[in-house]
Order: sequence, then C-alpha cells, then structure tokens
Amino acid sequence: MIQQAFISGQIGKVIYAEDDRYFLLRIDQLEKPVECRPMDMSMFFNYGAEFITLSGEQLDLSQLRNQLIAQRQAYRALTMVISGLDGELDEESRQAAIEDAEGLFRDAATRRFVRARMLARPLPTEADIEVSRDIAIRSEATSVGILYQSILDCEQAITLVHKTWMEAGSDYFASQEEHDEGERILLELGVFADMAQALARRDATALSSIIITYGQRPELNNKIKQGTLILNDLRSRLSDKWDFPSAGRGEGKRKRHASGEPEHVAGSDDPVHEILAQFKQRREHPKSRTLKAHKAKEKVDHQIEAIGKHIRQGNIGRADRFLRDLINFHVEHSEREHLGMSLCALAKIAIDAGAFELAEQMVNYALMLGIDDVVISNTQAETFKAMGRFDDALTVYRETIERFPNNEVARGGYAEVLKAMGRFDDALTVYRETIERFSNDEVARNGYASVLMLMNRFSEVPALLPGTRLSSKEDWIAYHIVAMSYLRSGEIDEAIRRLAYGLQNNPWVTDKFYFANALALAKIKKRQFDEVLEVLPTNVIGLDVFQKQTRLVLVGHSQAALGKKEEAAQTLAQLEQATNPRVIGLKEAIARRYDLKRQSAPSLSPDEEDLLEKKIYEEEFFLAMAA
Amino acid sequence: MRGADRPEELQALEKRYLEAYETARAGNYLPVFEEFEKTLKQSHAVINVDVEFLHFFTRNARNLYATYERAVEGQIRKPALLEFDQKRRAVGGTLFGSYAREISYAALSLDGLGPQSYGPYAIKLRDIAIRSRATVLENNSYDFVHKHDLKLGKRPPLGYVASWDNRHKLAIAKLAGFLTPATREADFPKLLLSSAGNRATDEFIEVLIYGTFDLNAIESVKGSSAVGSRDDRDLLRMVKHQLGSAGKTWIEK
Repeated sequence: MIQQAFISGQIGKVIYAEDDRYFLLRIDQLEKPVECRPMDMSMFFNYGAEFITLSGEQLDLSQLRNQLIAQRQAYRALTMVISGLDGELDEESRQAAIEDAEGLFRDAATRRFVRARMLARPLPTEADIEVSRDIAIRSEATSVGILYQSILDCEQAITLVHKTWMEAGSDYFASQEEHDEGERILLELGVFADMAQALARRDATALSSIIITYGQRPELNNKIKQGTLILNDLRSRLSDKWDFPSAGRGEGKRKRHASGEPEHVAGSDDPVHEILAQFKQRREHPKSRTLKAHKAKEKVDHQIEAIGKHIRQGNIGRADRFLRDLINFHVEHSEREHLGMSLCALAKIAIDAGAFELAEQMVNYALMLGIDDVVISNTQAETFKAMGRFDDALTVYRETIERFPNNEVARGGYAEVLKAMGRFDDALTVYRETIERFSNDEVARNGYASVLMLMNRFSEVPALLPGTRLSSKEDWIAYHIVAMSYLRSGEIDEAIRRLAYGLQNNPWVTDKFYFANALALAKIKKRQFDEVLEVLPTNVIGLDVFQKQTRLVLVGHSQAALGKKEEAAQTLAQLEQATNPRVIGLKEAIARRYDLKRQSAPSLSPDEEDLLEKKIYEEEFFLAMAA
Repeated sequence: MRGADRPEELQALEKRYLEAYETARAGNYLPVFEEFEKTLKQSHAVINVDVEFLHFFTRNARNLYATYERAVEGQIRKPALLEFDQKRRAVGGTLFGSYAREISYAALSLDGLGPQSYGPYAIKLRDIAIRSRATVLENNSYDFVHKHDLKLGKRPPLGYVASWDNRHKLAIAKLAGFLTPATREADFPKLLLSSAGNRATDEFIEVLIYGTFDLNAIESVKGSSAVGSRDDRDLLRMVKHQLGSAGKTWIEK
C-alpha cells in the first residue's frame, strides 16, 4: 500500500513510500518505478524543486501517474511561458517556447495554473514582455498572447496585490510555515491573480466576489484557518489603496460633501452633472408653476413606470435616455427633493433587476442634488450591499445612523449587511438595539429571528415570533422564518408542511416566491430533487433578480443531482452576470460537486463530497433566508 | 570528508592500495597500473540527470524564472515530514549520520559520462567547486550499505572511503584486480564506471559532496541533442543557451 507520495511536476518525478520502502517514478519511465537511491532523494529535495505531498489517502500508482502527468504539463507550460519572456534567448527559441506553451494551454487546468502564477508576481525587470507578446501574436499563439497582454494590463495591480500581501501576510499566521503554506494555497488557487485582474479592471464587485468564491473552496477552508477573513482583510486593504472609480463616486460621506462640485466626480463629462449642479444652485425656477402639482406627479409616475419597464427588460440605453427626460422634467417643473425620491425609486427597481451600475449612477445623481435625505443614503447603502461591496455599505449605513438616529430602515439595513457578511453577533446586537428603540418594529424582530436561526439557535425562534395571526406582510415573513427554523432543526416534514401552506395562502403574490424557494430547498434537503423542478417552474414573471438567482441555483443543483448535467450547466450558465458573491460561489461549488465542467481535476473523495454538500446547503439556506 | 581523513581510515585505505600495488607488480602489469593511477588523478565528478532537471537546474539561479517558479518567495526547500525525513536518511544516515540530508551525490568518471540509469545528460562538476567538500565511496551508497549489511547499526568497514585528493587510491584498491597487461588506456573509463542503464548492474565509485551546488560548479554537460519530444528538444536548446551564456561547455555525444 502506498502510504505517502511527493510529486514534483517541475522536475517530472514522484517519490513514494510503499511498505516502508521508497520508490521513484519518472515521467519518462512511468511504467517502471525503481527503488529510490540517496542520489534520487538529493536531486528531488535539495535543489529547490517544488513538490506536493499526498498522504493519508487511498493512493495507488495510477493516481500518482495521472497526477505526475498533469503536474508536469502545468510546470512545462509555465517554463515555456517564462522562456518566452526571456530576452537572453534568441528569438527562435522564444518562439518555440511560446508555441509549445500554446499547445499545452489547450488544457484548461494547465492554463489556469500558469495564469495563477504569472499574475501573482510583479514582472521582473529582465522580462521582455512586449516582444514576447508580439512573438505570440505573430505565431498565432493566441492564448499565450492574451496572457502576456493580461500581465501588461495588470502590471500595477499585480505589484499592489503582491506588496499588500507582503505587508499583511505575516499578520494572518502563527508561524512562517503556516504563512508559506497559506501563500502557496492562495497563489495556486488563483486568488492573487483574480485580485490583480479585478483591480486592473477597476471592478470592486469582482474583488468582493473573490471572498465568497474562494471562501467556499475546501482547498482554502480546510487548509487555512480563517481563510475567508484573510481574503476579506486583503480585499479591504486593496480597496483602501486602489482608486476604484465607482468607489470614489459612491463613497458615502466624501461623496455627500463633494456633491456640489460635479466636476470632482469621476465621469464628469456626463451632461447630467451640469444640469444637476444648476438644479442644486437654483432657489426657485420660473417655470416651476407651469404645471399643477398633481399633474406633474402624474407625469413623473408615468415616466418612472416607463423607465422601470425598460430596466426590467434590460433596455438600459433606453432607460438612460428616458431618465434624462425625467431629470429635465423635474428641473423644469419640480423640486430637488422630488427628483431625489424619483431617482431612489428607480435605483431600487434597477437593484431588483440586477442593473447595479445603473442603480449606482442614479444614486450618484441623487447625491449630487445636495439634499440630506435618509432615503438617498439608505438607497446608496442598499446599492452597495447588492453589489457585494459590504464594507462600503456598512460605512454609509453607519454615517446614516449617526445623522438619522431614529431611522429604523438604516438600522435594519446595517444589521442585514452584517448578517450577509456572516457577522451574526454584531447583527444581533444591532437588531436588539433597534427593537429596544422601536418596540413595534416587526422588520427588526424578524431580522433578529432570522439571525438566531443562522446561528443555529432555532429553538428560540418560535417564541420570538407571533403565533397564528397572519394578516400583514411582516406576519407572513415571520411565518416563513418559523418554517425555516423547522428546516434548520431537521424537522423537514414540518418545514415542508408550513412552507407549502405559505406558498398556497400568502396573499402577496411576489412574496410567494420566497416560500417557493424555501420549499424547494427543503425538498433538496430530503433529496427529492425531481419535486424541486415542480415547485420552481421556470419563466415566472415578477421575480426580482435575487429571487431569480436563488431559483436558478436551486434548479441547477437539482438537475445536477438528478444527473441532468447538461441541463444543470445551462441553468447555472444563466447566472453568468450574477454579482452576488454567494451566488457566484454556489455556482462554482455545484459545478465542482457534480463535475459539471468535466475537468481533468481529480474527482472528490467521499469526505470532500460530504463537506462540499454541507457548504452548498448552508449557502443555499442563507440565500433562502435572505428572501 | 573528516571521516575519510581519520588515521584509521587512511591506514586501511593505504593498506588496500599497497596490496593492489603488490598484486600488479607480481602480475607484471605495473606499467598499466601506474598509467591507470595517473589517469585516475584526473577523474572528475559527474551527475546524470534528465532534460527536465537539467533545464530546471540551469535556469534555477535566474531571477526571471525564480520569480514565478517558486510558489512561496524565499522558500528554497519545503520541510519534508519529520517521519519521512528520518526514513529518507536511512541509507545516508547509516553512513553519514545527521549530515546525510546535506549530501549531494555524483559518480566518479574519466570520460564525462555517468550512470545512464539516472538520466541521459551528464553534468561534469568543476574540480575546484567540490574538492574541499567531496569524499568518495567505493560503491554507490545504496549498494554499499546492502553489500556490507550496515542496516543494523554496524559500522562501515575501514578503507572504503577516501578524500577527494586520495580518490585514485580508492579506485586502485577497488579496480586493480581487473587490470591485465593487455588493458589499454581506452578501457579505463569503463573500468571505473560501468553503466548500461540498469541500476541493479551499474557499478561506480560514488562522490559524496557536502552541500549543494549551482550553475557555477558546472564545467560541461554531455549528451545528445537528438532525443525526446519536440518540447524536450526546445528545452535542451534553451539549456545550451544558458550554458553558453554562463561560459559552460556543451559536449555533443
């Protein structure tokens, strides 16, 4: 029995222990392992070659051969890509190296491995990358050319990620060994590369998504203590140092004070900025009385409805044009406060439709009006939350609570963000303070109960929520939470009974969706995957983007579990535009659990499958609770 | 090195050497003996590797490659698990104690070729880079331990190890019995190192070098350019370039 193995793709060798003897397996002699000699050991271990260690598993020789082949291919491609950069080599050798790499890049895992390395370290001064890129283009080595171009595009970002890790890395680990292992895992997973690319694209949402996407990977959580916290801290440090155009626009306090100077706002070539600036300066407009107030409101409502329709249909260009008309109309006939409310109403529609950039743009317009309104602040925070920019959302909510201490929406929103970040104790504290301050706040009460449940304190939930009276929307939400507490506690049949009742009887049609999603989740828990597809029909009108994404996750999961891999892959592909980090992570986790990408990666062990399923369920539960 | 210079080791080696000399004299092949000994004083250390390792080794010192090829910066060698480390030292540890894992291994050669069973490319090391830290052992250490049944804490026999400067004496002691009046100079390399690509039948004097070495320690590399896959040959082309840039010689076999 093979007890332990050391695999080095870099030098194409495996050393493994079998029955307390050590054997050597070479890439050029895969069928003929030989007993290890001291010379083999020395060459393997003493010259800095990288290797991975496998032990405690059911190892066999064919597994080791496959691993060696895959690892060797990855390292060979890496070597060739670096050689392509090597200005000391003649052009013929560089071209040959690039062409070899292009051939090896046909394998996606190899490509990922090389990308993870190349985008994780600042470009050495010896690298002759422009020439390399040109050689790649001339040689029609497209994939390698793209990689070189990405390195160029990300050069500053790579340096920042690297520098930030070097500064912060030692804070995360108790020993140098843990630090090195953590660094290796993050690098090989592609975390540094993804962070650099998100920075280079100035995409704060993508940067935030990394935390959830990788936070769920067993490779991270099983091997790095507090892996998710490390990622989060790294992201915060990077966000502080990097100039995100959208963060500059949206950042709460600064933005609010800068709103009188639209030229300070990124993208100030937008003509709307000038209109808004003039609107802000205006005391009373001469034409403001040309329409009676109720006529003006009617017209505005009509415009909002039309813009909302375009947003929901994805006609963002048309929505944008209509929006300008709306703004002009307000300028002509209305007040800044009214325009602010219109913009916030539209921003909420945009959030529900998943048009976050547009939502942010509307919030920015509202902020530029220079009115200190709690609705605008809350909408801004809500937009950040929807975009996965939790830290920004917290900042705005905190400032809003300071300025509007009696606004329970801001407090509830603040707690919801904490909940979304997994900071359950903090969320409970905020909800508790809100309930103390506003004893009749049913939203806070429901929120408090939902956090208790996520903390597995589900036995406290029924006592907290009212019994049989089901009249208001909040009553039905409470009913939903109690049903979920049964699901959480393992009383699945009771949960199904209650959720089915809610789905059947909840009078608010759009609120039925969260009962449907929760019921589907309960069916998944019972492994009744075929029934999930009945509970969650497709093509339902009226779903907001979050409900729809939750539904797609649950349907895709069920299809995958039923062995309908192609259908599952198609369903999950509809989540391509998702920005919710939890949804993105779930999509990846389901694909990995059911091997939807059909990668050459080693299949999961039963323990890994079990762990991954638990994680998927936890995340799906969270999504269903966030309804 | 210190072990090989111990008086009892030196005495035992000298005794074996003198016995070989007497045998040659009695057998009437002293001129061949003396020619062999003279040649052996020019012997050198070679390490055989495959193209993968050769490229890795020759590029290893360069920052461009090191930047990307070490997942963890500053990390030269990851610590192996303790249990493994102890086992790994089993053969070496029997002979070299706690120094075992610091030792690099080579073969003594006269023609720049080494044991093919370790790889088709022979790296010849510069004498000056190793002479102060090299010792030679009569066989490769794996065979030596088994041949002399040293696994159970038995001490190695005396006279089978020599300092670098006395390597010719150890080779004479081992090989003089194979000389005949008809032995020619061209036969010497095969006498010193015999390898047909099978580890079980390889026979050579092992060079034990304390510590590792880098590109600077290389004098030349010998091998064939016309083997392997296309990207193996591309790698080899880069190796030759690296060697040329570093002032090292490529010798086509």
